[in-house]
Amino acid sequence: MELVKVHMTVNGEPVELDVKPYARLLDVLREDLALTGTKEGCGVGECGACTVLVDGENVNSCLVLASSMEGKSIVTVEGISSDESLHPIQQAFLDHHALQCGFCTPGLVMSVKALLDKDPAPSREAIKTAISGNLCRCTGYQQVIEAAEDAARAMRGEE
Amino acid sequence: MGQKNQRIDVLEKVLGKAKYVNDLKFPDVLHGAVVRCPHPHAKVISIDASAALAAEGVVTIVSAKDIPGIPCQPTHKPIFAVEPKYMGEGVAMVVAGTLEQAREAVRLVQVDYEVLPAVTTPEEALKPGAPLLHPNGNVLCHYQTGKGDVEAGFAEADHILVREYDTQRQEHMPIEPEAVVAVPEFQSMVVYAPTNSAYNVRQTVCETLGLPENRVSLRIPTIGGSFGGKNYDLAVMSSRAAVAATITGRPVRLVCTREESILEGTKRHPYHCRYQVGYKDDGTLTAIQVTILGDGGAYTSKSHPVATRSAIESCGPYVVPNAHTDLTFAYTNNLYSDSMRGFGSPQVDFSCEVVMDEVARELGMDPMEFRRKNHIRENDVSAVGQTMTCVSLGKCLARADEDFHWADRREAAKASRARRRGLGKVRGVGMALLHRGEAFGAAGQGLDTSAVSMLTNWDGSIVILTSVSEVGMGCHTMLVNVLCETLGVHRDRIVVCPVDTNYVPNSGATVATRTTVVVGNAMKNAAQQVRDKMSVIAAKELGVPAGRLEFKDEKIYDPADPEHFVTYLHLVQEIHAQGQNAYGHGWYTVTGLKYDRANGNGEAYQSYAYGVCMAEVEVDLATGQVSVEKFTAVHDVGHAFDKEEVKGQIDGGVSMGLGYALYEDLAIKDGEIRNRNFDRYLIATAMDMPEDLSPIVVEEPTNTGPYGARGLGEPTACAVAPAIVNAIADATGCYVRSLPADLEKVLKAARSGIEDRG
Amino acid sequence: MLRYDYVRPASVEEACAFLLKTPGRSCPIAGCTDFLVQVREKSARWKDLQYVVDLSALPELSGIRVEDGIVHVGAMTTHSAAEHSPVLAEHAPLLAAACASVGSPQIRNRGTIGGAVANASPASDPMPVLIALEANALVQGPNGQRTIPMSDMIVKPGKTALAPDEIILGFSFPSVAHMRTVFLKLGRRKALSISRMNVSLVVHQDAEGVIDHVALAPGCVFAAPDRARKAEALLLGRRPDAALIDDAAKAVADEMIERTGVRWSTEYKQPVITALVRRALENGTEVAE
Repeated sequence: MELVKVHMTVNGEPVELDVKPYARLLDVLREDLALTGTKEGCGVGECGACTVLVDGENVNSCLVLASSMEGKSIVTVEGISSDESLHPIQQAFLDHHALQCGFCTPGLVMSVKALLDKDPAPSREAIKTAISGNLCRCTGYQQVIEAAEDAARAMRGEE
Repeated sequence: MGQKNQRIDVLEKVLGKAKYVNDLKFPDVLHGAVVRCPHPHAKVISIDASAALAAEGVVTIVSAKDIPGIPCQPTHKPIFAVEPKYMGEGVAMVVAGTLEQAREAVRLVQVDYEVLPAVTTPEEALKPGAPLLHPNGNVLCHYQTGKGDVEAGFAEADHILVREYDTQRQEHMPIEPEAVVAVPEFQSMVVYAPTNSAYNVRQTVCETLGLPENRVSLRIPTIGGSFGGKNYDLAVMSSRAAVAATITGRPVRLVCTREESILEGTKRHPYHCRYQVGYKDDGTLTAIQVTILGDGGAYTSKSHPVATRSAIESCGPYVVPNAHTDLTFAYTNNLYSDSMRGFGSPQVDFSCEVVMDEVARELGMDPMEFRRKNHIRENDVSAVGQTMTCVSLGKCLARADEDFHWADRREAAKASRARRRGLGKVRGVGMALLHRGEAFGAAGQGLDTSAVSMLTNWDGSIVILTSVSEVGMGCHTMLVNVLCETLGVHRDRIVVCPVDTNYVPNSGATVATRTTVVVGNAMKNAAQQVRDKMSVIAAKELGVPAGRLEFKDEKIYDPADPEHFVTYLHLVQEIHAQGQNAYGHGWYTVTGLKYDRANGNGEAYQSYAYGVCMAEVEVDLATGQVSVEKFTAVHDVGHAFDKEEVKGQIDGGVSMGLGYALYEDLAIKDGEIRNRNFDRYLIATAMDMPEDLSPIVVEEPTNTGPYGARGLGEPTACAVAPAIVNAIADATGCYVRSLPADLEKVLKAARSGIEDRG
Repeated sequence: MLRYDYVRPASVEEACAFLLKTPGRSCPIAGCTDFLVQVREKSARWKDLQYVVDLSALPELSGIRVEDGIVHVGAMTTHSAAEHSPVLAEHAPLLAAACASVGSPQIRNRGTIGGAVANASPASDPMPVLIALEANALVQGPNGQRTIPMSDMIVKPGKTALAPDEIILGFSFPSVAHMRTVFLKLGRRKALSISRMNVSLVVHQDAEGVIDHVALAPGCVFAAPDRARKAEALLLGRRPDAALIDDAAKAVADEMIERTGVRWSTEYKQPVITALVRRALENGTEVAE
């Protein structure tokens, strides 16, 4: 197998990597780049724990070939907060008790981010749709939805 | 970052910085991949590993013959099977330099099997001549509980209703699949395992390796959910990795794919229940006779305490003078059943709450009125003869009704059915009551005890030492809260020591809704010891009797004179300065229960949790599609340390119960599982949750829990399915008596309901 | 684990040439949402796989446009792009609706319509819609382009009419902006669900209310997605009323049993497809009182 050279931007930093042609983006993020905030829960694109943003859209990184990411911009949960401050979505998750075991949380946060970046004032229904590909076994989603609503308000500069 | 009073573990989680076991890196680590038996029952004749050993990167293959200690306790699942008893059971493990190499080489291991006859239903397993799974026969356990004389009770009845119910095999489905790493150290082994039961897993690893318990450190990283599943499954995986680590002298990582997790891991017991209920014209219950046959699968595991809990709770929270329950679990060549959130309650809660609804319907009574008439109240005697105290069902019902408006919704639902033209959508309402024993109880296993320690440093910072696992529900924060309430300190002073069985005392497992009550009390006792020491000094300094002192906001004072105080920090440093011990070691044991195990009668649990669920559903009569529109879940938690956390637990319980009611079903045929991942094993998504969901917290203190608290984790998932199924019956006119109420079953109910009602 | 090499062609021609050179050993890939699942499950379909040929970045395969009343949808159009396309909202809203019902946002952001068709999944949501739209697939092979009517695309479950060295460029169909359309999907849960069954309907009534065009394609009903011709024949030239709709709905169920036989699932599917088709027709037509 021939390694594939890929140039991409990961959390704002340019990255050049030689990846196995069949490697999943998930593996490259976790193993090659040590970004272990992105989790694997199913490997078949159903649970959403591996959700990252590719050019602003949320995708399951277990169903993306790393080799196909040439020129793409990837954002993981590690890329949205700084050392000093949480992203408003993360703050809202804490404020609304929207996580318990936390394993699905990075994926949920990224799906909410994909939504709010496009739609700053989403309806409740739009939020539910946006997180419908992120399975959570702990929270029952209600506090996640409330957190998303609250984060939207915060990002719009209200309150 | 973050905020005051949030859970102690959530900041690192929301940042993606929490380390789950698969995020831990170890130099020189090897990877395991399990060789699995493709038959439901077989004997391993030989294992030819030569081709696999020749493959790139493969270091070794381990199997039963490599176990230095014992393979398992009798009738329990062995670390590596020599006579595998279910399809997918592990017989060997390939160890290689990379995960890819290990998984590739599994195909190259040639295992020669003698296929043995298999039995895959409990009914077949109990027939004479059935293939035997264990030397003493296929009866895993048999329990009876009850009181009074059911024959006499039925003779007194005006009516007798007999109904049968089936519940399915449910999978835990934490989003984190199981994984472990075993790291060999000098004359000892360190195992990283996300388990709910550190000491139990350590015990199994020690038995496997033949090491004394202080030579194995079981460390728990962040856990991505358990729901009862990360228990003996993790003991098996830890032991496999530890055997390989012993042999290779290198760290060994073993990770389950989701498919492997489903294939080999434990599940909720499926039940077949028969209920015979005697009652009078006015709705008074005269007798309940319950017969349960459960599928224990291939091994014993924790079937005994699951069974006793089911039997004890099988007649629900109702006043019935005569009751008898006869429960049998059979061994089968299915994957083994074990603890899962609810631990034997959801099966009988479903069956009992639906049969009660059916009785009400037979009588033409409003199900609410029927339940109000019959539910237990303070000092009523339970179906197993226990005098029930701190009973809060009446209050829970009232709170539920306040939110749900039962009568109005019931009328509106009825009107929706009257308006129906053709095969449209109609509404229905349903409810279910819940009582659930806390902690292990007297019937199932030995003493329920817990130890928790706390270290108080010179600077006033505190370390809590406990082996109880934070599986995601916030129990470590609960301990912090108990400590704060006892010592009046600020929570930012406190950290919980990561679990390592060589550092922290045995607090018992995170199971059986025991953590708040049993571990919480041990924490309280530990903190009380420190408080007592401080009280002596404070009393002297302030010149007031120690008993009068209040500990609040880091100040210690006589409430009659709050301006005159000493600080917490001062007292800590004074204790240190005086060369005294500022540590606390708390111990708590559930004792004093009088229970007759032979007859299944007496004080089964020291305390109970109570709750009420109400559901409104919309059913599409043309397709069988069910939408849960409104759900009210009321739970009495005694004392809420953090109300929002409690609500999150309730919401989560509703989602798991909703899945149990409508979607979740491990499809297994002739021992083979068909749905091995989230694409075919369906759990509730955000879209499936009720648009209007009210988690309601009642706080009626008990006399047993810390600050009156009751447990919550499991009860939240127990009474959801019967409320939904009863609502479907209200909508369609017909009960679905087998879970899950999927499209096909609901359509069938709708069609026969239409025939009945016209 | 299946191992394979990765090829990123610069053009469709280059992709076709590579496929021609490596018959049976190459797979064109797009969003990979089906492919990587099949690879994980070690689908027998890919046992000889040596190369994946990534089409996702080829600009000539993307875009949705309408020209002279004909809608063109590039093969690499993601389900999300289709879901949010203003062109489709006007000219084929049922295709947007079907794409919006696929999987999850994450799947829709990666999975493409071309990929879904090439995969020939029996439970595909856009597939029956394209059939109801009477769409053609424009296909390129080493010897040039050809069109394949979508009704002929699926030969059997999992098998398309594409030659191994052919690539779908896109789909075209006449705008149905002036017609009524319906897409109904029934799943086991409200999201992240494959179709238990679905119904696609394109219908037009003349000034008198007589149906002068109808295309009715039920999904997960026949062995491969197809139009329900018998029901269409009943409807065409008639003014719909409750009785006619009933007859047409039953005709779909009858045709299902005729074509697939009675199975364990028939007890459920027969009444339910009848009800779904009835609903689609009630929603999609002006019914005479």
